[in-house]
Amino acid sequence: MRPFVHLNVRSVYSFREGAIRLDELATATRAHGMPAVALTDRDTLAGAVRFTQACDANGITPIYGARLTVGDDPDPAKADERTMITVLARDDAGYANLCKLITAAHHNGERGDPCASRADVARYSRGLFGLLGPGSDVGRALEARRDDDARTYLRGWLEAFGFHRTRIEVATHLRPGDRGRIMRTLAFADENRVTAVATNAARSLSKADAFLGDVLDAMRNLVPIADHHRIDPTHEATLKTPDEMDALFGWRPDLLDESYAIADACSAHLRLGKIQVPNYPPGTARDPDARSLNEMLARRCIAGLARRGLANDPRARDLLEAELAMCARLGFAGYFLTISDLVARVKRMGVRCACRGSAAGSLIVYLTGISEVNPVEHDLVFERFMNPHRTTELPDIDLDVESARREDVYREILGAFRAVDPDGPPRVACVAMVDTYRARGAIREVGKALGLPQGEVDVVAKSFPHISASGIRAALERLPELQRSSLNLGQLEMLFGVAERLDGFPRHLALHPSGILIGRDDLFRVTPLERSAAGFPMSQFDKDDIEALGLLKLDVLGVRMLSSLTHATREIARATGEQVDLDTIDREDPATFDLICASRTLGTFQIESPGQRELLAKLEPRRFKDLITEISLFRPGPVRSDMIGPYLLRRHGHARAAYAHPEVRRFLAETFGVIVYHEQVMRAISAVTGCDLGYADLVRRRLDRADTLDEIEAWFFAKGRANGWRDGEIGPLWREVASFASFGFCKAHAAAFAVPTYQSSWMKTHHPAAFFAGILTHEPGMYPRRTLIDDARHEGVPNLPLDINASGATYAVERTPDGTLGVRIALQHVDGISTDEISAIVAAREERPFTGLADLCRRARISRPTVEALIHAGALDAFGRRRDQLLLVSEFWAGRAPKPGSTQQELVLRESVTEFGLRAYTDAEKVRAELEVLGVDASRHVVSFYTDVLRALGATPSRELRKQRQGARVMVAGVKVASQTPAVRSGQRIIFITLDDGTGLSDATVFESVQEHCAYTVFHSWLLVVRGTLRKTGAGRGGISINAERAWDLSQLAREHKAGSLDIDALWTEGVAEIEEAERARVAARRGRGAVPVVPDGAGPLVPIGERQPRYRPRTGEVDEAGAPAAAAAVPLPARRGPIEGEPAAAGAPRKLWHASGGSAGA
Amino acid sequence: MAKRYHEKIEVEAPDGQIEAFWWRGNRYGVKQVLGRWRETGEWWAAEQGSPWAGAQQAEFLRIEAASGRHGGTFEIVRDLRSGAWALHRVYD
Repeated sequence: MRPFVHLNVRSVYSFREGAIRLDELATATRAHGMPAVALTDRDTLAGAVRFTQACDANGITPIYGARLTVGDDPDPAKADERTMITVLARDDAGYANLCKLITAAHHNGERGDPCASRADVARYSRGLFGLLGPGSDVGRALEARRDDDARTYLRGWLEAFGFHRTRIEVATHLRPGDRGRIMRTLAFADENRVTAVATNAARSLSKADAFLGDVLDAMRNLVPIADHHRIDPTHEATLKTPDEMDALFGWRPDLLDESYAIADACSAHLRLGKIQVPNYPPGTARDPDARSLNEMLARRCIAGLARRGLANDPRARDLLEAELAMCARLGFAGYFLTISDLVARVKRMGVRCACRGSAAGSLIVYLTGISEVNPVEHDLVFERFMNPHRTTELPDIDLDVESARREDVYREILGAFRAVDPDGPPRVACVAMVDTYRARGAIREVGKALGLPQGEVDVVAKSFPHISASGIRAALERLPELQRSSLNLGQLEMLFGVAERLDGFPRHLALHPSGILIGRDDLFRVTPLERSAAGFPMSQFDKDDIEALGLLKLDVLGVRMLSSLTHATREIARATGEQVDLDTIDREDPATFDLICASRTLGTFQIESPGQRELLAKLEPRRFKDLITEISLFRPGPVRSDMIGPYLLRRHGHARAAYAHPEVRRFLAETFGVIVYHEQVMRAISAVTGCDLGYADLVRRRLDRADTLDEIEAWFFAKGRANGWRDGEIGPLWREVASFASFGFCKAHAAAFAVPTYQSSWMKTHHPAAFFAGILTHEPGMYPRRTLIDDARHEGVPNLPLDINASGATYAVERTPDGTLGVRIALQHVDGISTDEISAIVAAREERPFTGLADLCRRARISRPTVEALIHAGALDAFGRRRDQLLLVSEFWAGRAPKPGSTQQELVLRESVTEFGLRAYTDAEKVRAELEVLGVDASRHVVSFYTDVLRALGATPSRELRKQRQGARVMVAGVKVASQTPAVRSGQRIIFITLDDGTGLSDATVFESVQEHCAYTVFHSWLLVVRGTLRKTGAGRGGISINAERAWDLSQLAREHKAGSLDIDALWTEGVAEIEEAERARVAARRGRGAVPVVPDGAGPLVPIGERQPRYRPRTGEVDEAGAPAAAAAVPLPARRGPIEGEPAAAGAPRKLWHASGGSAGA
Repeated sequence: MAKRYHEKIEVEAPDGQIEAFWWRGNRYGVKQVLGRWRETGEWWAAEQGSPWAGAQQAEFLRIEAASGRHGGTFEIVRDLRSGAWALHRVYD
């Protein structure tokens, strides 16, 4: 076998062009007996790290290169004049130039249309081989028999690469005329004394995959596949074996030998698994030596001790010494110094910034101002973050910043490192994210490529995102939607078959939403940089690549709550002059904990969901540290493993804490002997076995792997016995460690999260108006605005209506005539208003207040729909009746009245308004208009329109529920504000709903046994009446929940009531007999087992799996309630401003006004 | 002028090198191979079947051949899956 190496290979990272997966490339190369392979993706190195890993795993040598687009005119219209050359990195200098060339290509011309100039190639050619193939200008000139042109082009490339590194590349895909072309090309090479080399310009692994090339070409060019524009009609661009290549070029063996010679000359190899701490300070010619960096960090930490009031705390001094020693050992000083500078910069911008995650466990992190959590006070462990036994990756630091300022922060961070040399290459860049084809998107695009009717394909894609090609026949029989499709079985099989092969293919590079890469000064030699849409430099590597390269990656997350808190403090200062510094408030304020214990936590950070509020009521946090525990406990793991039960029993003194060994008490006493935190697991392992905490953390990470558990158990016991522990002491502790380890929560992270949780609760307690202004403006949580507005009412904060002369861009605190502080509804949520219109209104009003409709139209120049929305929602009530003004607007725009802005118009207007004399809006119409325009019922609660029917039904207002006895059968009503359908322990589906009736919220739980009667109504109605039995949880002002039995649509009951056809008795008795029978059976069964329920309600604490941070916002558009049939999920929108009679919500929800989530957060 | 055919032929290629083919009972001796290329079928237009089984592929040869005094340029094609040969085109 003659040796051959593929030097021209496009992988799936040549987006919509290549079809070779990198792992398959490496394994096939090895299987074919080739020692090396090149990756030459189109203008990208995005696959380079994964390529390296795959090659390393298969023992073959990676060669880095690219198929580079070259052209001197970046204008896309001149794309025909561009040429393609293949460049290969001979050595590390060549790799650096490859990065620079690709960077240059992405910075010329339009984004997404990379093109390097010939001058770029000349500048960065050192260390690179240049291969001139059939797609190059030389190749094309030869094909057209313009040999003189070919010679001219060749001279240019020879000037860049020299004879040593210039090659004429020949390849054949067995197309007509190939032989003649190759003969001419080889003659040309010989004549010009340039060495020639053979490649196969591969882009699919084998013949069986070659059809993917046709599909990708069609997708890229946005045309259906057809014979006449196939780019690759012979399907020969595959990763051929050396024998197959020999069959093609055996008559000129030197062409094959040359591929091997080039491969042999290429020595560049990405170094993975070695940490690259950013140099500090940035831009220094040479790094200061490690010792002076360590001293710099130590000085900064000691200053921090004084600033944090810990200068005389011996524990802090000891801990600092240990951490600094560890830091010096790992060489992390530059890392902490860099991040500390960065956080200081962000704070100087006046942006709230907090550190989350295990980093908060480090004292260095606290002392250098990166975090606000004192690890000494909370007994945290830094080894969870900085582990001496894990030296291949940098510890992660995640920063939370105000969501509204995130882009500013990006600019600041990216600029900060540029400032050293403003023209120099950046050493900070955003991180890329590889967007891949998922089933649904792949089906759509494949359908288009195959020329199938788009509508039909859409239906199929929507209905069957998870079907496989092989399952299509079975699905056809089972599913009526497919039978109705006009696509035949063959077409469907083709569609799914192709889409299935594309599943997981990278589609394009996107900007990672939060990742920032902080490199060393030579970052531009390590990664090519593209430009993001916002103009930020973006690495072509994703976060896994960056971790593998050992580079520092920072996650900068936008957190809406931080923006809300900033807005609130500014509103306090503006409205009252008081300056509030949230970082210095008392963290043990009793009034704040009163609010938390009463579960009045709607709108606060982390603890606002129904499940959280139920847990708050049971746990009754009174101290900051209780909040840390609460946040840690509210997780799927602790719930499933019954961690909460024993903790609550002991906390409230119903059971005694037991400790297996006196030493254990030291770190378990804070949670009454129950293991809650990762840190406790680590301490337990360390206490028994005598290992250090870093090692204990490694053991902890392996505890949820079943295969090594026995081994760890044996080690745990052996070490414990050797340390003088008795089996009776080790045993119980081991059981706890083994069962709770993987469920525990990182205390440092919980402590970091407890800070904004507490701050938002404090804000709600002491400055409720500002608090609501903040959360209404930035909507950080899970509840819709109307629920927040209603909660404001309950908290005694008046809602001030939309007013063109008072409402600002955002929600503002405003003193009402009686002296209380209220919240003024903002313009920002007026349906359809643009930011330009808001600015125009605010700017015009600052000159002088508007005097009328015409004045508004003339000076603010806003669109007709916006004017109408403003009138409809009452913003112009001061100037006349809404109907009159709406009519006048339509007269304006119909041309029957003078257009806004004309001179006589204002006069006409004044007279007109009084002339029309149309009927005023009723209260119900006003509320409906508010819901339509603003999405909130600000002036009056919707449910207040149903008092008649609710009184007749005997429904209990939410406020009165507490007076009912345990187990009482009640009816509650209200607007649905949230529904959740989490997965729960037993595997049965449980629906949580929260109703709001204007007196407060009621939580109801719909168990599977009654869903047959309730689920449809619960999912599809907006106004609900729920009948069920009351259960109280916790003591005193604990939680209250309804076990739902039946549910009805409130507006339907109201209509029946009005018509006199409502049978109220039947509503109260429906299904009661069987429910009670089932309940008796259940109780008997439980008594028989003698099991003690963990939580007295028998249902178990029901915690949505995966509910962690409130990323969710109310969705618009597609409704995705688990269990609801997809086709029926969308709520029909009523016609805008339709006829209204008596009630504001006759035809269903005017907007999507509630929160719905399934199992995962972020729904 | 070229004429299109699609008629089965037998090919003599003792050691991979094509020497002659039989068409309509006549033996055509091959003088020279002028070109050789491949084409794949329109797999996406298939009534049924799966593209991932590999598209149908054919190898074309353009040859100069003659039977007695009757000679010319021929294009013959081989279905790479079945191995069957056919006459594709004749240039007079």
